[in-house]
Amino acid sequence: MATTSARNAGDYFASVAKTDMMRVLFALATEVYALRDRQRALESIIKASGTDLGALDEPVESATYDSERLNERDAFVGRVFAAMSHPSAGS
Amino acid sequence: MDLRINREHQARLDLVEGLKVYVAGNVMPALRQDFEKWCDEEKPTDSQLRDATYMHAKFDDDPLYQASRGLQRISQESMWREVIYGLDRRKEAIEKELDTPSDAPGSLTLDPALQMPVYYEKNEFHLQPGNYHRNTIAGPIYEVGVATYTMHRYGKAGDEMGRALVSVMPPKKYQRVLYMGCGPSYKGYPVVNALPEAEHWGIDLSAPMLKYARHRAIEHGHPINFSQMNAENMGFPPGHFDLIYCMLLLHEVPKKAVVNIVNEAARLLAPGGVLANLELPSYSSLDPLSAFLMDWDTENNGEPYWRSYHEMDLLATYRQAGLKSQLIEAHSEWGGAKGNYMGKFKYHVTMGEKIGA
Repeated sequence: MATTSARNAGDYFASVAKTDMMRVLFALATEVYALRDRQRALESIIKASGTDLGALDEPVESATYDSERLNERDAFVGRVFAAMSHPSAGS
Repeated sequence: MDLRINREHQARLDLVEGLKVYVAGNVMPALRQDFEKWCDEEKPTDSQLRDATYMHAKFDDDPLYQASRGLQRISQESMWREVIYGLDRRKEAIEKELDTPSDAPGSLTLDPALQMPVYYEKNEFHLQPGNYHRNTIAGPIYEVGVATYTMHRYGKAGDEMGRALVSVMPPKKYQRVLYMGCGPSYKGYPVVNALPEAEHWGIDLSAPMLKYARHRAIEHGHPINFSQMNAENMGFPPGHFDLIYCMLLLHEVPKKAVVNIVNEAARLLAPGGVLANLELPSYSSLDPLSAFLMDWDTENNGEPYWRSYHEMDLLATYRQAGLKSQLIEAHSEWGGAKGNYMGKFKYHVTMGEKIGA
């Protein structure tokens, strides 16, 4: 259901260099890998100390209202999407 | 109703919002800077810059333009996907809560036989999957989605537009007030707060939106009467209201429906009554680049009538309906204080007074 509109999308990035698109993907993959590694390590350490991790699934406010998460998010997006603020022309 | 979603889903949604913020704060300024440099060099005329064909020839193959528009589109698709995934976990509980009857002040009247107009049935406004009427929890989806869509610039209460409208309302004694196309209705709370003695009504085509609106109004202590109706043909007697208003409704319907809605509102107004329509600023009041970028939404953001609305003479439509009309600018905290890709702006309020007071 959530993809109904997506089916009608055009090729919005037709002239954007594939190399820049791959830069975005690679930057993202790097971030995801580093985070997953750190998360795995943290959860192991915390569980070993006997702490319940249930709070991780509790509802939270938007990052808009939490300056620490907001700053972290904006820095992350800036790193990942840097190539999109002045992309080269594709072939 | 607590619309907070769990940490994992909120993190996904935060990332989507972060992308929107990045587009607005980094990509669009870069695009504007390039555009201004190009204008300095090429010196196009204002009429050329107002010509869509000319602007498309300039921009369509521009990588930065494509990046800005492509990211805007995919962030919008991702936003709805993540909101729906986040709320779907609680869908049954939300439905149960919305279906619980209440005898709190105010009311809810649904009309299961109401025919949806074709323009409404076939569209997904702002790309919201299932539109406003085909998902039982469309109201909560809309509220969480729109907060992200607007990067929380309507304020935590989501009522910035209502406050802007109240700031320009003619001082009169309003006894009965109608909010057309009210959706979840929270944007109108400032009007309700400003007129506590008045009887407040809200109408909308969508039953799921109205159920949510009723539930939300009860939670906030607002005795609003909600009724499922088409604004083109409402079931109230002539002269029933002193104030009728709408916000971002008329750009969502075709020209013929705009005319019908204005005529119907004029019929329902008592002599001296006021019709107030709050919208984003017209193309002509914006710089050419902002107007061109706004127009992109017509084909790419579930806004098929955006262009035709901005091209019509609404003041003339008001006059033809027997309303003394004028265009008033209303302060926007969003556009005025923080700006967005359009630069600074004020809302446009088309204000009409029924002649014969």
